Amino acid sequence: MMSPRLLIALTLLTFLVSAGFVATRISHGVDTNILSLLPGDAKDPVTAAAMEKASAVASNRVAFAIEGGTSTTRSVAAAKLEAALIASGQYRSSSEDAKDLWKWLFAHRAEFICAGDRIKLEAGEGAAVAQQALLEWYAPMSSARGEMIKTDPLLRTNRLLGCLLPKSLTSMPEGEAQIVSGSIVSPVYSLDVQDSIAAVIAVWHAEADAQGLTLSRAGAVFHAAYGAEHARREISLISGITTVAVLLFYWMMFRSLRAPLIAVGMVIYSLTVGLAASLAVFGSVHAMALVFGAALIGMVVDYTTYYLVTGLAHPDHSPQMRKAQIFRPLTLGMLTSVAAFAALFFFPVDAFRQIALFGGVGLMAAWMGTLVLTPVAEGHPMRVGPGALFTKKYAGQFLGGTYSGKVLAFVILAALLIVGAALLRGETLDDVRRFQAPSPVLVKEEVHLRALIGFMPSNTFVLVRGATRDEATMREEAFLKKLNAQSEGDAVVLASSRFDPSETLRARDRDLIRTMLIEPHLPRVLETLGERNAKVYDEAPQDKVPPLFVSGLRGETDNVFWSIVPVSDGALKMPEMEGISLVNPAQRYSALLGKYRYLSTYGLAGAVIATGIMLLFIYRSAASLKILMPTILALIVTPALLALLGVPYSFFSTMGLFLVVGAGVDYAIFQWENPGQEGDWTRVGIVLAAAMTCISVGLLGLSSVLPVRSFGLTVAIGILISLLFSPLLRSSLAKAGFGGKAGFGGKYDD
Amino acid sequence: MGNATGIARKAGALFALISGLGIGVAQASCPAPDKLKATSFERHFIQEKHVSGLNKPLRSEGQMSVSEKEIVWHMSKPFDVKTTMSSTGITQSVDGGEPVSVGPESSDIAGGIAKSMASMMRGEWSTLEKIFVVDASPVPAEGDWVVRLTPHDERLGALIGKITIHGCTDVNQVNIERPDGDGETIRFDPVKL
Repeated sequence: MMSPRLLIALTLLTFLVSAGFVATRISHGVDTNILSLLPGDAKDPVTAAAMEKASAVASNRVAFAIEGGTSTTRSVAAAKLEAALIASGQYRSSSEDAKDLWKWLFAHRAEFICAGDRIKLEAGEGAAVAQQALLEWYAPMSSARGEMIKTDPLLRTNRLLGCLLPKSLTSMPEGEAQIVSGSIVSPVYSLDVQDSIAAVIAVWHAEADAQGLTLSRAGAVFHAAYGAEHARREISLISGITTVAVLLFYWMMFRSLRAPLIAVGMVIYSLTVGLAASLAVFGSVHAMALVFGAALIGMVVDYTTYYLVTGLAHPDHSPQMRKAQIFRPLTLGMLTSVAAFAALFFFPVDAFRQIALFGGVGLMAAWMGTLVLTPVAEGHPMRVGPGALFTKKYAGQFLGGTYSGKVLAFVILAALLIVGAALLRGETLDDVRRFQAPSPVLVKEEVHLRALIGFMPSNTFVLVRGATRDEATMREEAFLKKLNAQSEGDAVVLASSRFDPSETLRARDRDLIRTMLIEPHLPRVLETLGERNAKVYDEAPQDKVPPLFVSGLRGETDNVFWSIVPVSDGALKMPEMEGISLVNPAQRYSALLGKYRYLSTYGLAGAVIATGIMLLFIYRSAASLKILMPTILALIVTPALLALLGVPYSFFSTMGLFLVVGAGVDYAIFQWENPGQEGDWTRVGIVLAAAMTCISVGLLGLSSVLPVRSFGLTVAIGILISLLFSPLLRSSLAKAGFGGKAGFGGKYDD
Repeated sequence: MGNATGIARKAGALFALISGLGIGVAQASCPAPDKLKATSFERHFIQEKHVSGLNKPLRSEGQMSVSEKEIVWHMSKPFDVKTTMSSTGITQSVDGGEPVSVGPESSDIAGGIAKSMASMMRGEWSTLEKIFVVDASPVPAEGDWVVRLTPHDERLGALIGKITIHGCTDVNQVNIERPDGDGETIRFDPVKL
């Protein structure tokens, strides 16, 4: 047996180590990507990896339009903005991509070809292609350069650049706007990256606003920053109100500042340890996990409350005796809650796994802290406050009652009616597009930019698979050819095979260019230009690695080589081809969420059964299963009631119900363990604990993010119903000899 | 007398000639570059491209015509190629053949450049200000005015360089200087309305 002092020292050491770890990691360890709240596709890892890549490709692009002022001020402001973004270390200008592309195309100028030129060469019209090059040399303001006389007299590179890049990237913006575009090189969902970009823009505005310039932005980083800012505000609001509520409630219960200080201390202790565990295992923690963490406050203080309340009931008992009184229900309650959190581990959503670890470890820390630190921090028992007396008298009267079978039948009938009404009127929600309302300001700016430059990242893509890289590339080429044949080629935003074709096509084109263009027509071009180096195209390309924006469209998962072809959103008539499929991430995530909603609903039944087995194992009595009755009723009534109130049933509702199983069972366990008059003060603790949870978690109902809102409302109402129905577990206990006087619709032990 | 009369006549003629020249100098002072004479016109041009690495410049000539509907750059020497740019697209006709639509290989930048050229010839400086810093030096008492165009966008600047336009009642000459030392000069004959 470990000595108490050593136990205290170890508990405090755990806190200090955790706090140090959190302090060093939290600044760059917060993920704000709402997609992290969505499930991965465990059955199809290739699609899951491709969706992740597509999201990264689409999310790291940024574009700015500077308008107003004069052309000179716009030009200067654009240069300053781009310079500041580059200096931040988070940004790469589009011109860098252009340079890389130029080098790549130049290296492969004798083996890559534009589709139109291929047709001409195949038709024996190489002279026309060579003529075009000559015309370019003579054209005013053309892109032909002196250095190309010796390296690329047929201007193959310029021609490839013209035909391979989408028109939207080579056209000039309409109107009087200066465009700055590029990509964010760091994870855009990282808070410090968002803060860094926001700081650059704020500094830019400070100077540019005075010159009458305006800035429009487009890019996922701005939406992520908007979401993160909301999450920050929500965390502050929930934490702030909960802290005030804790102080107020505890003061009214115990008439001492020690109680709220102990409670707040326990919250800090538990959340810090839980957060450290989550950061240590996952490397980062999602912003929503932090919001859920704020909701955990209410559950964490429960344990402290149960201990402190024993001091009101038995001020003469020693700390050891008081700990013994709550040890079994507290431990059982903690285990059932941790089990409920652990159930979140079975869902393939990292954010939920973080919440599971954060919540589970946090609750274990709260349990340990309550038993080890709270008795030391408390010193001597506290006094009974007016709130405690009030709660004992009224709430205790209700919760302590023993209700007849008629009341139970009435409650069950009412529950069934609510469920019936909900089935008629309620709705389910799986559509990810309805999860978070985007910033109207950002949406307006993006629409404006779309009108100016025409190009915006697309989330829909065609996924191409192959057993080898070359097979995947050949399939992509065949797909693009078919799409062109059905006049839908314009739907393709970008395709890696255009810039890095298959070996087969490359060899064919190399041969075609040599035999139909270089050998018969280069001499005439050189002669016209006054140059003699006929071996200019003989050197084999050295550059084997395509530019980043090309290689970024490709991947390999479980020995399957794949590539993504972003296509403009909308209906695309997909040709039936092997290894080719259209992926709409929003639809796919929605379908997956629907599937997980079903699975998790079944999982709830599993959680109830697991809790029942745990109760049977601890109590070794079939009667102990009555502890589950209030929770089961809460599980049925809560989503039905919310559906009638207009909150749809979603995967996130089921996640909340898992916590209702864990935390709601606690109240029933304490009711079960402390029947009759002995339990009067315990019921005060239960009411205080439930109130804390309802306030802290219920405030999530104010969140702008539907998953969070749905989760918060579900937990808060589920907990409330669990509390209100908890006396029902005694509806037949009277027969076991507990007796009592008539209470609210039943009997009250006096 | 006869001689005196003859001398007087000659002197009068000389005076009149000198006076006329004087008047002529005063009248030849160019209008401001934003008051060009013609917006629709046909001009003969001679272009010389100075390309580093080549011993002699690439010389071409032909007709440029600008109307409300289209811009035509018709190079007749050393090749006969007629490039027509209109709101419906860009076409090219070689050796008097059928106009063929120019594919995506000639990007929209070419169209943009052609439009810019038309704006220069029409003196539409405010239109050009969207792309260039337009620096119009004061109209000199004698000789052509000069307008300098520098692209706002550095990338475009690297592509087409700095442009200097000389003109009086119309644009007479366009000089282009590239950062890499290449350059070109386009000289226009007077306007045929």
